[in-house]
Amino acid sequence: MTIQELEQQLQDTLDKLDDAGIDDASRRKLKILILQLQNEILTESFNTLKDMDDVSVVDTSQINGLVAQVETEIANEKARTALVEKIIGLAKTGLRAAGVAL
Amino acid sequence: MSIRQILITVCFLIPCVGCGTPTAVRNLSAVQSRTMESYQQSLKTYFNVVMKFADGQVAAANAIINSNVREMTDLQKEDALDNLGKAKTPEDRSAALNNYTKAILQFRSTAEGQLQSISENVNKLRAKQEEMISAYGELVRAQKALDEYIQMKKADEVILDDLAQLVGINQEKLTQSVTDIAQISQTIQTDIKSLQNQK
Repeated sequence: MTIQELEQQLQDTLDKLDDAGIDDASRRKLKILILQLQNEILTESFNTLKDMDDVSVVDTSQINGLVAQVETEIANEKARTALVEKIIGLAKTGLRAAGVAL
Repeated sequence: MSIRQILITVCFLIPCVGCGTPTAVRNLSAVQSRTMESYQQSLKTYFNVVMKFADGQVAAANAIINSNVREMTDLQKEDALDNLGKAKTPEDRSAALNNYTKAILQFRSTAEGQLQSISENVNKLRAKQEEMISAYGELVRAQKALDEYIQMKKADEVILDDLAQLVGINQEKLTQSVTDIAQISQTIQTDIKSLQNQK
């Protein structure tokens, strides 16, 4: 029997007591039991989220350091490119000064 | 050999040493970067919706639990009043009141534990989602860094561009020509090996 089925049986019993016009301590205790069970079922329905602990998220710890290295390489390449552009510019000026038509 | 001829020769030699990044690679990298950023936004929106739904469920559960506790308290009160009515001695009255107080405290304490448990479980969901978003953010950041490197003009491309400009050759066509030459060379090598094997 599932908890939901148990709750239903308790509720059916309570309904029978109500139909019979019985309103005594036993009925109240039964009603309290049903309400407690409902609260427990509600709480339990969120317990599946406990499995979240077993969900592993991809390890990205290495990425930070590697991205920093790539960023350094980008800066180096920019500096290298700027230097090459400067050298080419100078070479062109030199060639033009030497009378070479470019 | 004229300077023009030398420059043309150099133009063909440089790509053999350091060929520019192929357009297909640049395009894939750019599209991948944009797609990942877009997917990151979708994930954030999705997780926001999931959390709103979860928060709604928590609010509903809290309301039901609190309502049930109020109803339990009322039922217990009716029970206590019954018992007080039936009490014959001060001890009986005191016992009825004690039972009532004890039961009410028990209901509240249990409900607080249940509300706390629900809140903790939903917080686990929230934390895990944030962890996932953060990890994906790292992947996006890495892809963007790679893309920036792929898209940037490298030093050898600058040289190639300038030399190609001098002799009036389009660099993309030059890169394509070198790729074609490399493929032809590869085919020839494979054919030679194949012929040697046949002998």
